[in-house]
Amino acid sequence: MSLSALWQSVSAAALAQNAVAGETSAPVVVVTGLSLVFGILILLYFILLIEGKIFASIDAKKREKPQSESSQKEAALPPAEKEVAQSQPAAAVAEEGVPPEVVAAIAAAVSQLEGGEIYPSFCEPCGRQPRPMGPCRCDQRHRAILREDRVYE
Amino acid sequence: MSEFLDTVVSIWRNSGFVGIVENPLYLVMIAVACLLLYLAIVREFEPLLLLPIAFGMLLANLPFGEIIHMEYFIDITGTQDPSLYPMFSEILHHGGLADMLYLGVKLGIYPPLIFLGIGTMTDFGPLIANPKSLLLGAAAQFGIFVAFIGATALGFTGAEAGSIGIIGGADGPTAIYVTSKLAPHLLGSVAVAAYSYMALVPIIQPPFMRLLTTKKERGVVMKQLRPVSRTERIIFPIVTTIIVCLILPSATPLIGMLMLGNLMRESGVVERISKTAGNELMNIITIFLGVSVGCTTNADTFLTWDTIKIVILGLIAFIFGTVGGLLLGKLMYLLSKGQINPLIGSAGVSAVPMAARVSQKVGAQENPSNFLLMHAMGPNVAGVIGSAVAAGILINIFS
Repeated sequence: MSLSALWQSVSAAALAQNAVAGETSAPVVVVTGLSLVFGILILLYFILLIEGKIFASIDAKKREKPQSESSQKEAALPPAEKEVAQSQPAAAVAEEGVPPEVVAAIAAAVSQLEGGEIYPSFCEPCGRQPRPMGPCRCDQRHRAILREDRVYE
Repeated sequence: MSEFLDTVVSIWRNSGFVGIVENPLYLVMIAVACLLLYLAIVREFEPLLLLPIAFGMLLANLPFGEIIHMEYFIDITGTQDPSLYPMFSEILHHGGLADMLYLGVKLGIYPPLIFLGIGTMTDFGPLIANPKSLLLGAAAQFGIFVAFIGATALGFTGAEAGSIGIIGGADGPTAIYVTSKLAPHLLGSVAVAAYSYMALVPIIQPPFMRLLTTKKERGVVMKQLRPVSRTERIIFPIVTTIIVCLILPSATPLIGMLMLGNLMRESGVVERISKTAGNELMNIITIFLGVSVGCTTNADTFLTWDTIKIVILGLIAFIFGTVGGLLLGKLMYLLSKGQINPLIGSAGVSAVPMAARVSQKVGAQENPSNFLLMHAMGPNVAGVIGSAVAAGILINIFS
């Protein structure tokens, strides 16, 4: 039996069922109703499950990409710079949102444009976050350091 | 002087008081309307819809007011060709405000528009993050079919039983939509029962939740839900519309509008119309729907044994809906080795967000640091989809 013939016979059966819909008995309505409600929602469940897995794998790939890039960069660095990079404080690790180096770069650019001194975001010795355009407010008024280890005064 | 007296007597004869004297049942209906107004205003039982419904009931039962002409919409005598209704020519030539407003119910316009507004306010994130919620939403539709069997056993026709059963979906617009299609003469009773029980969810559900779950089960703390990306949120309404509407075309107006509203919300590119659909449009439609549904209630159709049966069957539908969700929740608790709190199952009866709040409240009574609300929102919004699907099935079978 060809596919179109099969489809036609199924459609005819469905139409015939519709024609006698007024005579459908209560148990048939209950069984049909519950099966269809569960069937449709289970179908949606599997779709959401698959969708969730696809997006989870995409996210995992996205997360792996920056990690592998940073490890490649690290491998390319000379041993002396590697040590410096490893000795960076935990506070300098990029957090969610705008990375600190970007904040520091923007702050530096704005400060330069205004002809002032450049102070980046992090004070390395005390781990504080000084005012955007000023030195650290700790007792020693430390000089703040960028992640690249460039010192500004 | 006699002319003056004649005029006064004529006015008296045309007044509603004479109508009440002729048919005291009007007085009973006025009392019922006042009781519903009390419940809406003082007890705040679903006031947004119960207040206009109750006032519509009051207006329709003031004798000689003739605010609505139900004879234009349904065959009261039962001898006419159903295809003649609604009588558009009569409505346009002789109809009044409530006749025009009721067209929106009769033609199935208001409930989908309310679903559009609900869609703009619904966050499907918890459902997408935990798709198992869909199963709980399906299980909670059990009450619809239990009430359906009960209604047929009590002598209602299949179409009437379907309209009564849908009360168990705990979804007002869906109940009104199905009833306006299948049994418009029961609209007033079904709407009042549906909205009353929806308001009573915090009273009806907790005893069954405690009865069917152990202290240990109620105290289960569920894992935090994963974050859901914007893309997933956008894909969900599109895929759901395609799947559900292809399988069940009769559910298209409800599911389609619900998902359109949600897509407007999640896409973030049509903020203006999304806000309008969720606020102004929905408020306007709520007024129209409430008043016109209230106007359909009159002593002849409301003060009957059928109404009492509908009220009882509605309660049964709600109880079995809650039980269905809880039992599947318990099964999922067992299968997941205690990872799922069965209390979230009762939220599958729709009634957003009241049922989810009840799950949260009952869970917090066992463990005050347990926050079940977001987990219960999954089955809760799944219940909206489930009840719309059940509505589509009943319309498909009986219309």
